[in-house]
Amino acid sequence: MPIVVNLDIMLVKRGMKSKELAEIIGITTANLSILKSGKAKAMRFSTLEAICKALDCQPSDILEYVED
Amino acid sequence: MTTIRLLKNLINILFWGMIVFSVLSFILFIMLLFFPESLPRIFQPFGMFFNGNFPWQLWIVQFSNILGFLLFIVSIYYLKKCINPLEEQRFYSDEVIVNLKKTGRLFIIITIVTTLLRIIGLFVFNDLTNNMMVGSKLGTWAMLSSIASAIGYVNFFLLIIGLFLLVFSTVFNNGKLLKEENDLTI
Repeated sequence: MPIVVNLDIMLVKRGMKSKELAEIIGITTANLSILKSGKAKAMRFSTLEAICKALDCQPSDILEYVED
Repeated sequence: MTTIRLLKNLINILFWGMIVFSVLSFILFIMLLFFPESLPRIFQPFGMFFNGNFPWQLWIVQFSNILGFLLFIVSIYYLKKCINPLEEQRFYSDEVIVNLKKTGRLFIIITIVTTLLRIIGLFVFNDLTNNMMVGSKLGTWAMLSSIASAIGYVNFFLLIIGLFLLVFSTVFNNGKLLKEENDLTI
């Protein structure tokens, strides 16, 4: 998929662990793992909003379009 | 849930009932073929099938009935297999989709095969039956009505149910894709 999720990079930048983020935004670590691995088919605005709020960043910091 | 459990029980009763009936019929068949004298009096009339006076043409109808029955057992077996996941609330599993498709296809095959055999049988022993009944060949309308009765409303209904199951299978397959997409939406 040409949309890449750069959640790992943002987590490292903010020094936050996946489990911690999952707890803050209220999703399971399994779902967060799906999101990080790029297996997710879609992302809710509410999830994006929660991630941006928790990591204090913009959606563009997390999502990136890369041509195949 | 009660509906699914009831359906499961009914399918199980039907399936095992048919298995028992087939085994008993097979035993009766073997007995009639090899030891007709050892059977109780009530079963003796069935011996007419093997006494040489039974017109071979009528075997076509018997064969179509037996074939239809055996295929029906197999189709009910597939239906039985797709009930378990439904009971476990796994509505969109491959088991349900595949077995519904198999059952639907078998219902359609049963209808087509038995109907064709019956129609062939009708033509084959047309002379035979008419010589017995009226002494002349059937007219066009009589023949058409015989064909219609050979198809029969039960077969027609089975064909509809078969097609319905195929549609159901497609619906479940679409449901599975939607569920997958929903599960992967975070």
